[in-house]
Amino acid sequence: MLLETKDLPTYGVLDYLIENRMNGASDLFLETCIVPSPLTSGRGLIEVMPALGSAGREKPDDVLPKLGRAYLEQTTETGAPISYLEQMRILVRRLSERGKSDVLFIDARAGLSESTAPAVIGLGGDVLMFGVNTPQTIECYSYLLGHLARFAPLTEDPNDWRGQLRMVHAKSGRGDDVWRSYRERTYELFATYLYEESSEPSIGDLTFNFDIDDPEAPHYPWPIPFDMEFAEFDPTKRRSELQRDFYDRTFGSFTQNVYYLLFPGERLKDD
Amino acid sequence: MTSQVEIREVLKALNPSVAHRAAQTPDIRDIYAPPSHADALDPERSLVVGSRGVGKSFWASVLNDEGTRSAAAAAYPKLNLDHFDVYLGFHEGAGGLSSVAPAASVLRRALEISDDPVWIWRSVVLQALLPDAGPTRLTERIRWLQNDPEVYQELLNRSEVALNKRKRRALIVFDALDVMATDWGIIRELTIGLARLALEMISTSTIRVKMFMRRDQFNDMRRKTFADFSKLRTAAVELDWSYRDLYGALFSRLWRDERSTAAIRQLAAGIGLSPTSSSLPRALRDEETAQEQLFSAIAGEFMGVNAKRGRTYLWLPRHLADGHGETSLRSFLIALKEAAENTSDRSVIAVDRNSINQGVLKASETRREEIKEDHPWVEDAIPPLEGLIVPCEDIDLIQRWIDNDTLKKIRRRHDPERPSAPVQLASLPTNEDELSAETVLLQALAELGVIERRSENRVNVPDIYRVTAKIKRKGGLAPRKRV
Repeated sequence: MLLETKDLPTYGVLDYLIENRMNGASDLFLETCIVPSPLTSGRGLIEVMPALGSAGREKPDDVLPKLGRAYLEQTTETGAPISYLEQMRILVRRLSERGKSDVLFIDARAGLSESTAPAVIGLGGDVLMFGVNTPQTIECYSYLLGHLARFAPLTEDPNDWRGQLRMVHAKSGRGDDVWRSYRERTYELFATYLYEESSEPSIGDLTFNFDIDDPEAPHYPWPIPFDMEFAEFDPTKRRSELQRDFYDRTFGSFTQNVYYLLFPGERLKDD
Repeated sequence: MTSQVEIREVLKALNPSVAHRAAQTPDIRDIYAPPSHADALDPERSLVVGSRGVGKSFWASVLNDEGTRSAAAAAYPKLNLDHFDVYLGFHEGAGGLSSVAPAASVLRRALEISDDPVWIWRSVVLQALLPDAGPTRLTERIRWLQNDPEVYQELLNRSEVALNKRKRRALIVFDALDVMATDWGIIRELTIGLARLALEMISTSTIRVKMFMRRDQFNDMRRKTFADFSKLRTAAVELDWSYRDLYGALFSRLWRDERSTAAIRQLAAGIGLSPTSSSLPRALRDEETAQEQLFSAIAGEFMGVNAKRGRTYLWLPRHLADGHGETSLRSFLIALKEAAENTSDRSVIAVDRNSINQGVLKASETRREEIKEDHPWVEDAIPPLEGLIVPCEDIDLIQRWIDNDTLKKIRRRHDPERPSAPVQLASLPTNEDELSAETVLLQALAELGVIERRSENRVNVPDIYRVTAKIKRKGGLAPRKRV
């Protein structure tokens, strides 16, 4: 959606990881993995680093082997291993250091592979966990959170990664009555795996625990109501779909929540 | 920074005992009149319903006292409160010489001799409006009036004429209906009579009745579907406090108090509010962003080092909320007073986040005491729940009550002033199977807001009750060690 096939850069994240492992990816190579999206037509810059570039598209049979190689551990000159997580961290740092962006969005595609867990806890970012209200969603997230629970900090940590998580309720319907049932389920999920047992009201950074109905809690889903208008969303073809009056009804509260998440200082400036 | 010290001092001196008895004279400085409370004071709205601590008795006392009534009249000019003569028809501690409100013991006797409980209240109304007509003793008046209903009609007409001549109207206020007797059956009968009186008075041109009723009693009356009550029920006014009103009340006190007024104005100016008049700027009454900006300036914006642990403005009232999501003004003020007392003199803000937590704990303890006072049986129902982990299934609570003989204890309990068992139990036969009685107890606690119903078989306990009850909240991980 951000890029049409014809606009893809030559390479993508997978190529970067492999190149980096073999020769150390140069800044020049990194630039061949990134192109600007035409979506905003110059009003603000969105750059995209796809998973696969046009080179990958041309040889589909190479993709799976490439995936396998990309997840391999890298080694330093002295032979010490550099984990997949560390490689991703370095990539994020390099992207930040280019200095062109206010925000980096990482689409971790929670297919429950090795790439998911590092994105959630290792990169230091805010993590939005999308899902529709089905048993499968809860089941899959229980695998993920169950795995992540073992990495919960053991001492006070103001940057506790658990506080960076946030559920998003996709295709949610409208109104608290319909949101409530998903909230009960995501609460159970978080309480079971990531929250700490609490005998006092949680305060400061001491006990990581939240009430079910606490709208600031990580498990409390931000709703995005189901909207047929977006079934065929394609703003590259229909520019009007990027106008606020088109998307606000469905995405208004979500985009506002994301904005305040990224720029918390802005919230009290509004009047 | 100096302004923070002044604000902290005034917070320390807050007087949270806003609710008291309707017959006491309220402090005029404690009145904060949010627009949403206008209906609760409107003489045309006969029935006002609310939980403990929302200010039912406070507003009853404001109406009763001439000085505070004229302050309320100024705050709510559309209600014409200054055209009313107000009498207390019943209140906590009734039976004194200066009031027409009968004592509980008198009511019990009166009910025995009445053909219909409405005669009791008709007699009380006439006692207020025409004190010299007929016998002075209530029981004798009741006999006199019900033996000759025409006398009653004549006297009522006479009082209307007298009021009209003086261009006055009369409002008879009934508060604390749950202490009219120690037996729910009697309270119900008296309340039905009162409902009938309220409906009769609506058809007069000069006399109105106002009843302040606790929510559990209201729900009970609703379940019983008494014909007279259902007409009142549909027009009942809910009295509660939104977060906005709580903060409005707080800022209003800081604004009026001469020790903090300069300080709070200075902080308000810092967020772009330069007041032109002496009263609290509108934005601080009804704009949440402005309120949060100002509160952040005195209490910090977040409850943690960053936004992740919640915004103080929302965190505080949310942790004081009961199972209906309602936060009482009293809990809110107690928490802030305690927070101010716990904040170090060296702090750069008036209250810091650790002391706000202390404040919540204190408010929680006070709340437990209040509930115990109104609902003695809660002290039998809560202790067995210690150590429970919530949210949980209904059966987890019920089993603990069964194991502890809780129902038996509740039934054995006696209280000299009020019913000692929940109203919901009063409708059950005494030899019912125990499971249904425990289910009813669960329902009683849910209606009270002590527990919160989630889905059909699951309940939660809000922090304000959970903490003092030593009930834990679910978490798969052990709490971290403090460093």
